[in-house]
Order: sequence, then structure tokens, then C-alpha cells
Amino acid sequence: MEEHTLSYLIDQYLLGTISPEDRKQLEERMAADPSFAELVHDSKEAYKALIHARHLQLREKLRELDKDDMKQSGFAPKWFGWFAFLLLLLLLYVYMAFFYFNPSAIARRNFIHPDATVSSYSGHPFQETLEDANEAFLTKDYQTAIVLFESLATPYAAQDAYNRWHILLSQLALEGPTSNWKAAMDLFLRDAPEPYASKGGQLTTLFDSWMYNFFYVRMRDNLSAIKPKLI
Amino acid sequence: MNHLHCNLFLRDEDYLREIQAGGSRADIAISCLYLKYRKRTYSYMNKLVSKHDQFRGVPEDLVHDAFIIMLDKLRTDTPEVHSLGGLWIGIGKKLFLNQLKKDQRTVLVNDVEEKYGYEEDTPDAFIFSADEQLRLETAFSSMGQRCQEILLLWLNQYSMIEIAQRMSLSNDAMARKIKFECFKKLKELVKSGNKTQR
Repeated sequence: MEEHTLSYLIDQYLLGTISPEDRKQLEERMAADPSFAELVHDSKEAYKALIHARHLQLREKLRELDKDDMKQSGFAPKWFGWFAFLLLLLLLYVYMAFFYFNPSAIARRNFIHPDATVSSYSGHPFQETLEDANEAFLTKDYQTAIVLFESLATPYAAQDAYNRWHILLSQLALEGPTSNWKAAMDLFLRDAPEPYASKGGQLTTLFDSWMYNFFYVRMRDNLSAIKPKLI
Repeated sequence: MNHLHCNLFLRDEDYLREIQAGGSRADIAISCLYLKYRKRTYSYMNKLVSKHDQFRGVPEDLVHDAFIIMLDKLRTDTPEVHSLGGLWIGIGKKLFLNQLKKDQRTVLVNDVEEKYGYEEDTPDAFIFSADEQLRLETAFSSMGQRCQEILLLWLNQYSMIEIAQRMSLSNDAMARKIKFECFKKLKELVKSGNKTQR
């Protein structure tokens, strides 16, 4: 066989890409020809030197990759990402809490659908005004809602309580829990039927709670102090 | 190396296929595979080393050695691997335990000899003795830069066309001829080194 062909076969043998037939042929020749066997042995030795060199080269490459990766991720300490994430989460929580405790949001959360409480009092103009009042309340047009609810004076206790409750909620949305509002609510709660009595009780407790004071009153004051500076 | 863009959606089978294909594809896949599981492996090895004061090595060497052994394994065998990250950590753990055993230097009479896969502590020690490593290194470094480069490219299964392009040679036949001559030279250098040692 020509030297180059043999060399090619030995290369394939060393790299492990030799076909089974060629491998068999090579091994037979190694067994028959001692000088050829020596050539293969020398090639194996040289191949070892190459493998060793490749390991050294690879180790160097891995060190470089480490360095590059450290440069990219080493800009900020590891905990910084978590800290920033938690801070963001906290800010988001405070922001959401601020809107949750907003009097307008509280008022809308306590809106009671007429179907649930007001049973039979009807009549076309009355029903229409009631729907308008509810719609005004739900679209945050509280002034109109107050006027419309006040116009729905009725001898029926349930309907009357419904109107008074929503007038109070509209006032709350407009001015917040002022002392006048609290006094009016107390007055209402003395003879209010369910579910207004329990809901009213919850509202008065809420406005006395530290959460409301912390997340809404203090935040509102602080924000209103910062706002002009920011502008 | 800074401009290495790795596809984040590659699966372990894809890395395996690319590594076994050899050449520049394997080079990229090796770097990407290393970067993909690097942090996890480092974190595991750091924890392991911090728990054992007797261990004298450094996690960095464990991580690198384990990766090199894994690559040799992937290139030569076709192992059934569920996760390359897991395989890497597994090899690193075995290397660590073997090294720890040596570092502890406690010889118990009639103690059952435990072996954790690879008995040696580095991929080269896995194949060569320390003297042999030095001899091979000397033989290889005695060659010219060009010869070293072409032989390493050939070993990394670059095609002769790729080698010719990379080394600005006229064609693949020229690359083949230079590689042949360089390998011949290396054989002589290794052989003469062996004789000197004897």
C-alpha cells in the first residue's frame, strides 16, 4: 500500500473513525508486519502528545470563557438582581395598596347591586332614574349620582336604605372619610338593615385601621409633597 | 470569544451531535455547552469543596477537568445521556471523591477499596503518567507554531478544506501534505524523547 494511503488509514484508526473492514485489514497487517506495527505504535504515541496538547488548549479556552462570563455577569453582585427584584415587588405592592385603599375604589367595591336588596318597588320613571343613578355611580360621576339618589325619595325602607347607602358612598368617593361623613355614616348605621349594617361596620373599621392610614393617608401626603418637586 | 452567540433553545442531543461532528461546529457547541451548564456546575462544586476542609484542590480545576473528560467521552463513545449537565456534575463529583481520598491520606488496614469511576485526578492523569505528560508536552512544543496549529485542527476533526481556509493554504491537498509532514515530525520527536528517557 502507498505511504499516504497507509497514513490515511492510521489517521482514521487513531481518530476512531475507521470502518470495521479497514480496521480488520490494518490489524492483520500489524500482526504480519512488525515494521508496520511499529509505525502504528509510533503514531499512537504521537497521537497521545496531541491529545495532551488539546487538553491544555481546551483548559486555556475554558479559562477564557470563565473570564468572559465573569465580565458579563460580574457587573453587579449576584444578590443585586434579587434585591432589585424584591424592591420592585415591594414598590409594586405599595403602589397597588395605595389604589386599593383609595376612597373611590373602596366606594366602588362596596356598591350593592339593586337586584340583591331592592325587591318590588318599581314604576317606569323610578326604575329609569335608579338605573341612571347606578350608572352615574359606576362611571365615577359621583355628583350626578348623589343628585339622582337624593331624587329617589321613597317610603319603602329597603329602597331608602339603598339610596342613602349609595349617597354616602358617593360622598366618600368625592371627599374621603371626613368627620362629617363619619358622623353621617354613624347615623345611618343606627337603623340600617342588612347588608348595609355589616358593610358600614367594616368600612368604619377600615378607616380606623393602620393599613389605611399607612398605605393611603401617609402615602397621599408624601406623594403630594413630592409631586411639585418632581414637576 | 466575546461575540459568541449561543442558541438558548439547543437541547443536549443537539450539542452531542455537533460535538461528534467535529470541526468548527464542535468548537462552537463546546463553548456554548460549557457556558450553558457552567454556573450550575461551579455552584455544585463550590458547595462540595466548602463542605470538605481536607480537600486541597480548587473547584475551578474540578470543573475544567470534568468537562474535558466528558468531552473525551462524548467524542469517542456514544453514551446514553439524559442530561449533559448531570453527566458533567457526576464526573466532577467522582474526580472530587478520588482526589479527596488521596488528600485525606488515611490508610485503613483491610479497608475495602472504593473506586469512583475515574481513578485519577485529571483527564491527562487518566491517560498519562506525570513523566509522560512532560515528555509529550516537550515533544509537542518543540514543533513550530504552524505544525502545532494544523495538528490540533486535524485532531479536532476539521476537514482539510477547513484547515486550508483557516491557515490560508492554497488547497486541501496542501493542507493534507503539511499535516502529514508535521505528524511525521511529531512521531520522530516523541520517539527520540522516549529513547532519551530510556
